Amino acid sequence: MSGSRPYRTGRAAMLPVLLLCLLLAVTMAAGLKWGSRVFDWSALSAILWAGGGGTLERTIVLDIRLPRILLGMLVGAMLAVAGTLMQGALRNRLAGPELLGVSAGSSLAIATITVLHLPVPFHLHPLLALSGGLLSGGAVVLAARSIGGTGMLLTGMAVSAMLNGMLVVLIALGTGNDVNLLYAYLLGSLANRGWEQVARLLPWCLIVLPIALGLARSVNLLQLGEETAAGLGVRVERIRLTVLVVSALLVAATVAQCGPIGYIALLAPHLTRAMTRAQDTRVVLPVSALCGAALLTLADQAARLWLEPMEIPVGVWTTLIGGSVFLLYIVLRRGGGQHG
Amino acid sequence: MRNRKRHGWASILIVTMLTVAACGNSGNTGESGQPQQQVEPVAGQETSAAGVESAFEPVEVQDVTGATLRFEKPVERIACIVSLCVDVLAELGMEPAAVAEGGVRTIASAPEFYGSAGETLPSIGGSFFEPSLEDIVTTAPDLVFGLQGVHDTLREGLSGVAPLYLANPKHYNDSLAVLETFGRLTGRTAEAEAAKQRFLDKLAQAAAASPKDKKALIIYGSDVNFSVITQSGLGGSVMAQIADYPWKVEKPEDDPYGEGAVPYSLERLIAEDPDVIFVESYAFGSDAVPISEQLAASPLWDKLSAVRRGQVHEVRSPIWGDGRGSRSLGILLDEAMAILYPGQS
Amino acid sequence: MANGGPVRASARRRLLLVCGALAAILLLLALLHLTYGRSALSSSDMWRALLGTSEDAGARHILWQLRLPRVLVGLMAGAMLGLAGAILQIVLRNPLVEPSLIGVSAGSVLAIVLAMQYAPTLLGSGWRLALLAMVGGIGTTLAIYALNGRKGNHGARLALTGIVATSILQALTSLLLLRQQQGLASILLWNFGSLNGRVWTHWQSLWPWGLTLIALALLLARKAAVLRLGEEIASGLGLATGRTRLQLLLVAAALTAAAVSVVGAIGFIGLIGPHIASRLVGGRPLRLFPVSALLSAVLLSGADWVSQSMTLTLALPGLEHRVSSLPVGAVTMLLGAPFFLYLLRRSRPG
Repeated sequence: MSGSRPYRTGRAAMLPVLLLCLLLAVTMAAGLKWGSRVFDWSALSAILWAGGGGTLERTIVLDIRLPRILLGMLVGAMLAVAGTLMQGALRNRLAGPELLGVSAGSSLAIATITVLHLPVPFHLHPLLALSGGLLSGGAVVLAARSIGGTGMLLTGMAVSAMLNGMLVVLIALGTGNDVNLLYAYLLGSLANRGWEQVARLLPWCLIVLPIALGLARSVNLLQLGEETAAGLGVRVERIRLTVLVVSALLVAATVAQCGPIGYIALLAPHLTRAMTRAQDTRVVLPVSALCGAALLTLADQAARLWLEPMEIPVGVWTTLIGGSVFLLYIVLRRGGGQHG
Repeated sequence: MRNRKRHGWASILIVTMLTVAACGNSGNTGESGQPQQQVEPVAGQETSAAGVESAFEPVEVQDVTGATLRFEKPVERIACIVSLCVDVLAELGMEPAAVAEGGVRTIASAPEFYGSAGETLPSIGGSFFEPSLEDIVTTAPDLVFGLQGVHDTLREGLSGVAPLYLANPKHYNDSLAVLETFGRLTGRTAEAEAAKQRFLDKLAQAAAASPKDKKALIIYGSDVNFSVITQSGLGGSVMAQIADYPWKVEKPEDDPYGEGAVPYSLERLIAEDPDVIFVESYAFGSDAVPISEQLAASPLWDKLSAVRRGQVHEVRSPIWGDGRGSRSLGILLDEAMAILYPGQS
Repeated sequence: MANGGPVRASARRRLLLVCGALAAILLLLALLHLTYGRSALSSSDMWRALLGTSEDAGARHILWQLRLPRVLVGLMAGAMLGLAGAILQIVLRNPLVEPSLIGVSAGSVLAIVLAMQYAPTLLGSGWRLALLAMVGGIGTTLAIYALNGRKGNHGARLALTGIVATSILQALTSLLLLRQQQGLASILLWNFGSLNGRVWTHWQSLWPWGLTLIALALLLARKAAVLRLGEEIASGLGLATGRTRLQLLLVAAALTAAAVSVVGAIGFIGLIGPHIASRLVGGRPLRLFPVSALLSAVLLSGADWVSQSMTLTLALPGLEHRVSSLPVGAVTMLLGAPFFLYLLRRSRPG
């Protein structure tokens, strides 16, 4: 890598970064303004900066809408980082954290609680989901140690299938109401979450994201090929394992709070690479975090506002729109697979 | 040359098979799943011959899907795969021939229904969504009562066994209509009329006695994952008579199937600020932390005055949510009135 | 490429042996399914009903009207799914593919959910449902094929597009289902596959499609064998590879769609059956197709019997949960996934 390349890459990334920040700002503003009650800009700025507005308005803006936007940004960033790392480390542009089987474990935990009506207090639900996700993710990552990259993907698939089988059994045990609730969880949703969830995710972000950034350089070297990387002194297996563990942690944290939200982790890195035309993970990682944040916030606001007051789980939108965009991307690239 | 010959064979094969398929199926369209289904019960076929002592006339009814059921003699053995059936039969003073497990047996064992006798009723296995057809056959019922939207696909499987009656009341008047229908089917029109009148009297009394100055909310679920029963839901339609019940969706077609439960915007909940919250739960009476405390622990729910004042009440989901019949709705009325306006008779 | 005489003869003997063994197992399983089961009636009652000496109308009804069509539907659906899986293994050149990978199941399910929402009277007749599912499924496959372009339809690219298309269609289905929450659980369960309540009308709508398509697939087996040799060799031998691939894909899609319309999207059968079959008789389509059909039929019947016979009771405060026959899709996944893992371990020593 020549000395001038980072400079050029950095410059090329400026425009997309600006665009994404703009998108994020616009979404934030729209999200704060619209909803069951529409505020005009002066009232909004009074509430935000000047401590004005009645109790109800302050509750709506500061306790419901604002944390939801922040949550969307955090979750989107975490998912995008997990996806970028995995795609880099596994050298497969189609790798995504759902292959780790984390979502299946969390879903099973929540399903058990919901369908069997276990007397678990509400605030413990995310904790149990987290443990479920970490357990299943851990099982898959351990399998990766002995089988290796591609085998891990297949193991993840098998573990997810097994857990889905148990999920089906639970659905068969349930009644109509339970299954409806479970379904809403399984689609992934940011509704009704507030500062509590933001506070729970913030530590994960602050601890794990810097680690992820630190891994970026090694992931770069991994992309040159296993032998080359080993020749350059990279402990391939160890780096890969660390990447998987970090991804699993990031995803488990988000799934525990919001359910499995699809396609952000897969799509954000691709879009980032397409926009910035960069391959350097040190550049792609932060920009795709921003991209993921923008995408998820946008999707969530659409989910919130489209059929107001009914809440549509955001996972439906991310899959519909994200999946369609991804499909177009694959089709238009005429490449696909390993390095395309 | 060889390819063309093989293609020839292939086409002949396909044509033959499709013809056979068409012939085979056209013979069936008379039987399978057309709305005009006339099925005689398997357990004996006694026409109302010279039996002059029974004043029962052949009855033809239509269920909510439009299927027509015809009976020559009073229906006696009814297999219940939905809670509404248990409710209707209890109001008519009959016992089900068999009940499905899960919520149906729970409501049958409730003290207001059959109590401990409900535990020993014969069982229909399988799950709520896929009841065991073999158990239904072994029970040899005259009629099977199911839930429309869930048990529709059973009709084909039950042909030759017993007719399937499906219902899904969206308003309490629909529930009363089902009660009347079953009164006619079982020859117990007097009991059906009495039960209907009981419920309507109770409703009128409650509506008159309630000052309607309280705002109520019925939900189920957890603090982040919950659904609200809307005005077009069955429970909502009753609650709206005795309290202020403003929860609705803008477009009726978005309100799915009259179940009337949708994931709802928390902003609206906080804006409306109900006085009393009813939470349908299955863990009623267990040693678990009560839902009122759990909601109070959530900073968002704590903004609701009902949560702060401890006006979150757990109610029995098998009756409030799954019951759907006049007796369950009556229980809903009684319990709601006691909580909303305590001290009123 | 050209085997010697003795080798071919022994391979043929092996094929006959395997097919014979599988057919025998199939018959045994069918008998087992018919006579043993979690029902109030004992197995001797069922034997009497089978042999025609029973007086009990209920037992006769259960045997002839409920169990027998269920067994037959399970056999046929299993065979169709297994055959579709085998075809896809050849076309996608990957031993780890499933029929749902080309988006067929999702397309069929979406078509059926659309019908349930907007034209519910259409669903009465079995054959119309199968046709609708096929339109949905084959339409999806064609769309994916067209999206990929003429040169793009090989291996990884097709599978990838299939996966993405599947998730999009599933999201669309979810959106529709959110508006119809009453029947949500039934659709979910049906999505995972179930043989409950499959009676003669379902058999009537399944067997014509099944026989036709199986015959078609076997006719195409020879072309598939040539295709298997590799792109360049096959075109060198004069085979229109693109057209053959399309034909095979369409047959696989039709097989899957027809099966899905009757029993739902049962997972793993189309993966494990062909996988084991290829271990038993090798990958040549003329042998692989019949064996994987038979084997998958065996697997599905076995799974169905297991699912019928299990009872799960969970006594918890507030509601006693009891389910006494699982949907067969749950069993295929619960048993299939560990088996799949085992196969993975076996194929990669260390």
